[in-house]
Amino acid sequence: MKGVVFTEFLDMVEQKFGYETVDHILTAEELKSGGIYTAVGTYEHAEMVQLITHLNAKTNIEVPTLLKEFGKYLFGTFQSNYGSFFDKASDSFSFLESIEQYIHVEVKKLYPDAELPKFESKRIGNNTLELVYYSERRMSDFAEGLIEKTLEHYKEVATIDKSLVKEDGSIVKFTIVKQ
Amino acid sequence: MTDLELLQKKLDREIAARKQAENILESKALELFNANSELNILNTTLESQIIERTQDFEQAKLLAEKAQKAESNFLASMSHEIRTPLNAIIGMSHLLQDAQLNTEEKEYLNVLSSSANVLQRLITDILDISKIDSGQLEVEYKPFDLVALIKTATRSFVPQTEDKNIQLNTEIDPRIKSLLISDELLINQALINLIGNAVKFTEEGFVSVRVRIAEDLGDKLKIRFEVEDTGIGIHQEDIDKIFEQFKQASAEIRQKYGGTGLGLAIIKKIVETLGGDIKVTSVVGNGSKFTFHIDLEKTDIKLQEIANPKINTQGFEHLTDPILVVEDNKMNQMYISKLLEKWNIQYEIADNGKIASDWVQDKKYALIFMDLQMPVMSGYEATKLIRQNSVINKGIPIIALTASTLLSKKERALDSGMNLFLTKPFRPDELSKAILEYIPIGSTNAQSTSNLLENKSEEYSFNKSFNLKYLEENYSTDLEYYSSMMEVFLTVIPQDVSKLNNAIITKDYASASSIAHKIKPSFLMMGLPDLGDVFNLIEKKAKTEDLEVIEIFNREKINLEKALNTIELENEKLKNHLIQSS
Repeated sequence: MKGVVFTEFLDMVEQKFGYETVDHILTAEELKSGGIYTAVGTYEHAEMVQLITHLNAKTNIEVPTLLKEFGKYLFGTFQSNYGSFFDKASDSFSFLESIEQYIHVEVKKLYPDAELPKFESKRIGNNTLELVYYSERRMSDFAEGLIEKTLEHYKEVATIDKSLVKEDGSIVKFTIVKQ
Repeated sequence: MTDLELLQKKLDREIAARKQAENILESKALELFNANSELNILNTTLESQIIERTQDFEQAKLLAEKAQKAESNFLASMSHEIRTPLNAIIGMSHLLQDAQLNTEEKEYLNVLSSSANVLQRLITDILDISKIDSGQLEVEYKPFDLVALIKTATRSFVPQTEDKNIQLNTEIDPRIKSLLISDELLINQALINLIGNAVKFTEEGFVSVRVRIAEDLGDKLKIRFEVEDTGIGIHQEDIDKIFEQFKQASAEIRQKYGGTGLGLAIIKKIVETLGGDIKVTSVVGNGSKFTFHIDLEKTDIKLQEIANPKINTQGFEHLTDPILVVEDNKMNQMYISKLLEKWNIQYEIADNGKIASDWVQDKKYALIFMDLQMPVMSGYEATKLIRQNSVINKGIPIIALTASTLLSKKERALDSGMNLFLTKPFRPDELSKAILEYIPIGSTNAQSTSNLLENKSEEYSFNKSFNLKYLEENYSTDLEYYSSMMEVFLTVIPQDVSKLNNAIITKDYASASSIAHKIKPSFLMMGLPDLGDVFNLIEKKAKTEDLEVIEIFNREKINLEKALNTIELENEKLKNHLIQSS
């Protein structure tokens, strides 16, 4: 997993809960990286699971909520670092469609070893988009946070219905209906 | 844990993270540097490879071009080397045609002749192709009359199409009203070849030549040339083949129709050289249609501006009686009669003074043209007789025709009772002027006629192998006259030469001498003084019965044949010129 995800995650934790919590989740269990993260590095996904688990234990906030909040938080980083991707699309649906078709293609060029989730999108009528999330990481809540922020970015109001296609959460279908 | 300890831990982590990041960046930078170096090396290698390959390619191209040029040069020089002896074969076999041969020998001679002609055609084609291939084909862009070119090119096939009983149609866009710029000779060659093919492969139906403006491009016209026939047609699978060198549609075609298989290849190259393209559509058994497009530059010169001035024949209609021409020389007879026929004047020809003096006893004539030196009775004697004895023609105008510029001869002519003399060779306007002078009522027209005639001048370049000064002086004001002269020459002289040949073979020196004497001035009139000298020499040698005459005659036969060919070609060329300008 890209280092930027870890550094942004820790930034969020520090902002919301203070550095003490950061120190706690970094020291609660031995981490392979020794708890030292840089945005340009690459670290194992398992460490992220460890950090979230300890944050959940420490704060008593549900993991899905934490992931969703992190998704919303990371959106801001994406927006300021990769604004051009947002400019290319005129509305949320076409942006969401461009993730699989364009953005992930570009990311793969820059980081050939990046392991990215897969999205399948399908428009149903003018106002509905079906987006199916595929990832062994099972971080659909994180994705949901990003989707919410996307709608906000394009100043659109929509309902997001989320249903598990596979019980373990590795395939999740989002149905986004614009109002 | 105190805040300070916490901050210390955070700082330590930040520092460690920074170092980690720096290490990562450093190794990435190194990777990048190495990759870049490799890329540079690869790039340089590629560049040098490209240069190397380009050089190799250029070398190969140069070699190929050199080889092609060598081949073309070889072909050109070989063709030339072959042509010279071949011309001798053709020339000699022409001369043999006049010899007395038995049927079997004649057959051999025919085979010899036709084979030599085929060979000549082949060599000409090869020479053309190699010229084009070696880039030696010179394209000369100048204004020309396209309409006239088409008419002339088509006209030359009239005898063949009449023989085969097929229609020959020409359709020319009436919007072509001015001279256009391109290479006249090349377009002519392409057209002649195409029409020739069409006529060759068509047994019934028609051959149509169509020339139309396909597109007006502003300062140029895109002209579409189309030659369509109702001939044997070409199989679809052979269509691509026919434009290749030495390719004909099939072996049967070659056997049945002959040809070198170079004609269409030459046409294609010519058309391409002129910036055009050629296409063919064909249905077996129904015919073929060849189409090519060429862009020709426009000019402001209108076609009418180069019209040919005409001789004024006004007044000739007042002639009620025929003109009597007394002349023993067949060439002159023909020349005068052609002109008189053209002017719708009735005439009679007497071969010598005796016949003339007999005829004038019984019949009224308007005027007599009288040669001076004739067998049986000379012009002087005949004139005297007519003046003395004739009742109905006593005061008739008699105009002497003399080749001599000697004043004494002219004085003698006038003394004998002639009214005027014309010096041979005379031009049509001189003849018409002389007639008009003696027409009773229409005499007032004489002046205006001569004025009209003086205005005649046309652009025509005479063949440089002739005596240009002589031709220009005598014929440049009247090309029709020149044409008539050549026509008469070509009808009369070959017969005379054949007679001379027989006389020399049979050692009849007296005849040989007089025939040579008769032939001599004709060559001077054609602007070929060298051959005139040859006949002068033959005349002298024959007179003294010098055996050398045989040798001289045999040696000069080829030159003679060449001269006849040249005059024939020149006459064709001039005729075309005259048609174009009319």
